[in-house]
Amino acid sequence: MSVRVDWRQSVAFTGTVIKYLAVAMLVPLGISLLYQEDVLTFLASISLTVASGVALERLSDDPDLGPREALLLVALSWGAVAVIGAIPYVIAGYGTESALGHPINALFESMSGFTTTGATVTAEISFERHSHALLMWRQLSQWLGGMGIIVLMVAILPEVAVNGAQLIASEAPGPELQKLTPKIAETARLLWLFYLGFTVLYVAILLGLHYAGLAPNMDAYNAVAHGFTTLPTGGFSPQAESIAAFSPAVQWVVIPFMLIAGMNFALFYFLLQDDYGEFLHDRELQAYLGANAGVAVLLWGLLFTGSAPPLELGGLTEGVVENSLRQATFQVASLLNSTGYATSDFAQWGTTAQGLLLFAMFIGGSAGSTGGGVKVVRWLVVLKAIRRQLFTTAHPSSVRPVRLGGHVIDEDAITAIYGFTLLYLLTFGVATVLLLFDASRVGLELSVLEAVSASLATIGNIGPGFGFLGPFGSYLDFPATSKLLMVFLMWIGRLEIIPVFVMFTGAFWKK
Amino acid sequence: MSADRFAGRLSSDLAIIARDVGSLIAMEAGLMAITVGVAVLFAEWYAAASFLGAAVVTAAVGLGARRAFADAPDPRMKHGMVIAAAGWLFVACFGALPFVLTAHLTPIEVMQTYVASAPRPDAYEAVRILGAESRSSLVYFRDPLHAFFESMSGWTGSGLTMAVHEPTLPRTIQWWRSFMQWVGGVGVIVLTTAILARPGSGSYALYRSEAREERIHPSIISTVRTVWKIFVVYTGLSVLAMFVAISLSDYGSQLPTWEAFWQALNHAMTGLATGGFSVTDNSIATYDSPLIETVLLPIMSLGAIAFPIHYGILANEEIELFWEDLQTRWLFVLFGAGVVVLSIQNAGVVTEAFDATDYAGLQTVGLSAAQTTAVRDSVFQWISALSCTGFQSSDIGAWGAGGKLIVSTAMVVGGAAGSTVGGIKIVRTYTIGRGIVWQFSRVFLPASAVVTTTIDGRTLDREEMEREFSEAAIVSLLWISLLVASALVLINVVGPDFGLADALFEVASAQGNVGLSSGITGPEMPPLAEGMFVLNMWIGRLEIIPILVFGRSLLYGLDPR
Repeated sequence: MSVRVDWRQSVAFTGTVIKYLAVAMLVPLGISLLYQEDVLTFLASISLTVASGVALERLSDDPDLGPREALLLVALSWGAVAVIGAIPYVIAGYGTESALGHPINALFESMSGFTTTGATVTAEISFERHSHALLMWRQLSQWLGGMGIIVLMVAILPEVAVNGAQLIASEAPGPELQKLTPKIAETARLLWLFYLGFTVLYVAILLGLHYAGLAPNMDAYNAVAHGFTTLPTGGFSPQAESIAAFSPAVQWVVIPFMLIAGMNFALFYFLLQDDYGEFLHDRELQAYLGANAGVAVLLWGLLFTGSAPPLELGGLTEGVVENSLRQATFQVASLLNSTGYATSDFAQWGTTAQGLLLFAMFIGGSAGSTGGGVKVVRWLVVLKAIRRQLFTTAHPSSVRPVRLGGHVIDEDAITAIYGFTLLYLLTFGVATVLLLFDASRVGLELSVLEAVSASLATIGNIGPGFGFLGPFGSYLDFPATSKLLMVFLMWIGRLEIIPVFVMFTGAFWKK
Repeated sequence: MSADRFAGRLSSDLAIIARDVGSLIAMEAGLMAITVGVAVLFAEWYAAASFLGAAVVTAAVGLGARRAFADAPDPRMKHGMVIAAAGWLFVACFGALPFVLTAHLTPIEVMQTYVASAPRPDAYEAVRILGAESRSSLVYFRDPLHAFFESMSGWTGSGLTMAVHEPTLPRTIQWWRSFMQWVGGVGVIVLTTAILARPGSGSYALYRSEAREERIHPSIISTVRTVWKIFVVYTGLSVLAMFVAISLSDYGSQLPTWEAFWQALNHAMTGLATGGFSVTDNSIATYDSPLIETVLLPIMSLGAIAFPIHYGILANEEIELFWEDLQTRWLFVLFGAGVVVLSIQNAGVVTEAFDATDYAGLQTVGLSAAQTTAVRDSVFQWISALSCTGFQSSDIGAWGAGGKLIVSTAMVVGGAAGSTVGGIKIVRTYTIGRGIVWQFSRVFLPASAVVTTTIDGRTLDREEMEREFSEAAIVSLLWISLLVASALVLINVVGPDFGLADALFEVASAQGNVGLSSGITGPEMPPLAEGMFVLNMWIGRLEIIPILVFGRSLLYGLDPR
């Protein structure tokens, strides 16, 4: 281990990551050729990206990263990718009325994309306002961020794979990574293959619906665009009306794929090996599906009994069995694991129904999924540890380990989970107050519910909130300072806070 | 274990708990008997009869339970929590009796005389509760739920009240409200220093060696002996200071001397016990006097400092404890930091709650008159909230949402463990902070690295730190979850007049045993919300875990399984 943090190494590796981002930009470039739109935007973006990537790479050529350098690299990469990803928005918006042309808005949109948040600052999503290529870039950024940029790098670049385990541990959502194969690069490749496989399957089904006549407006562009944002629990859509723009058949198809996106992708490895027991008996999976079902049933009851008014988007739910069930299941599947799609303007639902959705937003996806939030497994461990505490309080001399699905959970892991959960809640609370203060500073009407949901939706990488931040609303009205705060929240939320905060401690840089 | 032996052991646990709870209730009967004396002094005969009746009933139940289970074994640590949880609940139940009896026995004409003796007799509107109409707020207590609420709020030192216009209450009831909070304050100190002294809270045990013992009676008795002397002395000084301040204020100088003394006595008792009941119509805002607010600041702060520290300073002259003790040091840091943050927020978001009054001094640094009021109210309200007192000098309901949330954080944190405050307490907040930073260092250090932490002079190894951090983390997580869940329930039942900030504020106030109100609490509130607040106050007072242990032992008994 080096004596001090060798930041040059980390920055150089970040350069490599940026360089490869240019490859991803070839996709929107192709789209712009296809639709005969302006190609200059992405040509310029690609040149800028390659140039800055290569320049940074020159800082160091030592491939061996220590643990602290790895941590720094992961945090830096996510920041850098968001900045680079904002370039196309700025170039395309330059000189037009589009709000995305403003650098801070562009950064917000880009960070929201790569962190799979799905919060938007666009005033109007339409092909008149934005090119097909730019909207596809928005979708693609979520797909790249979903399974993790660093995981992708480990999967495809042999020189990164050396430090793969360390890197993935800092990036992957959830308390620990299940190593599927002895080689970490192999594991990373498997994860990305599952991810790609589900995406392809999903796009194929959507197209199938289109050609079967069940989804008239789900053309190839839309199918691919939504394929890019469903599996990463992203939530961006090229349609201003999100999934409400599509037929009920499409909405029913989206639900299971959103559910899959919130599962631990490592579990699919067991399915591949015909080990159904290991898959079905996973405690986190059971809890995740149970929570989805439980909240959805409660919400179904509320919607059926008239907790939501008849809406232009979302329709009449009171007394209508199919629509109330669909709206309840869809919204819960979307918000619980942090996707952020909507088929109904839930910002106009009754307080009890909104309270239920807010509760779901606190849960988050599974560890090892593409979802954000606190994660199901953490809540499970916290609940078990509380039960243990009640017992040991009354009987101080007894010793009792916390078990999850037959495995004993290490005491270190339990305290780490407490630490994360409390820090998450604390950061969320402080951010809420800061947003309120910033809004009142510039005279923006912001209710506490709106501030709470803005803070939660960004740190949890969810996307939509309540009030004017509803699923068909926009974060555009916030002052620039609030937007930067939320960019920060999305960033630390994606990296699960601690790796970022560690870098702000003196101990990290010393010794 | 055979069914017979199981039943035998269960009943011996039950017998211990019943006997000790019976003793607590018997003591409460004694306090009611003392209050009969107050009623006689003020010639409030209906109140005297009510308190006498309540005392007889309470004594019969308490002494009965004590007598019936006299030969039960001595309680052990595992019983302590259940006794405390059940004790607070039953004491609050019986404490509601005198309210209900007085409200039902006192004739309407007599109630009218209480209204006539209040400062502004014509300002009150008549209300009708359970068939009786009066302008005296006594009439609210005809409803048993209101009485139970008031009693729970008293015994837990909360200070949320159902008596809308306190001056229209009989003196006996005014006294009983203050007396409950004062005695309840001593009860809390005993609770946190002698009964709940567990890992994570071990640092504030008054007698550390004894707290580790299995026998709890000797430890409690010696704690009470030490605490009550300090408490009485502090109360006496506070009464004196308050009397001088009230006499000098604009409002107080027009009062008869005995009335000024009465207010000083009651406010000193509830201020020191960080309770927050008052005998004036708008709490401390009635006086609108910077002098009285200034005098109350040190009184409330005394109540928020751990009593082992008071004991060390007074008995052993260890003055250095003031800055060497971790909780006391951080209490003052939080006082200072919070006052600054809240002042900035309130001066930045001036609402109609801050009327423009001229004060010398602050205008010279560029603050407007309303901003000056905002700063003055921020100082008093922050300290009232962090010390969990609940004296109110400003209409917080009219503040900006950010201000309400900031005050809510003070109510969630609370003052020092081992004092009369509620909330999570400073020692736990600090442990959590250290625990999180401790997690940071483990992110990039190898798992085998030896990590020790020093908290308040004690060096903790990995296992000890894990234990203390776990305890603090669990209490905080449960506290916050209960707060959020209750706030969501509240927002659904109170209707559209109140926002999420009001709901969070009000629940934090009830659960933190503070007593500040954004306007939700009152006799008009939905019974569901009122009942929920009774639970919040009870659960918050006992720091949650004992209540869960209580519930667990109701289901499974006290033995390991």
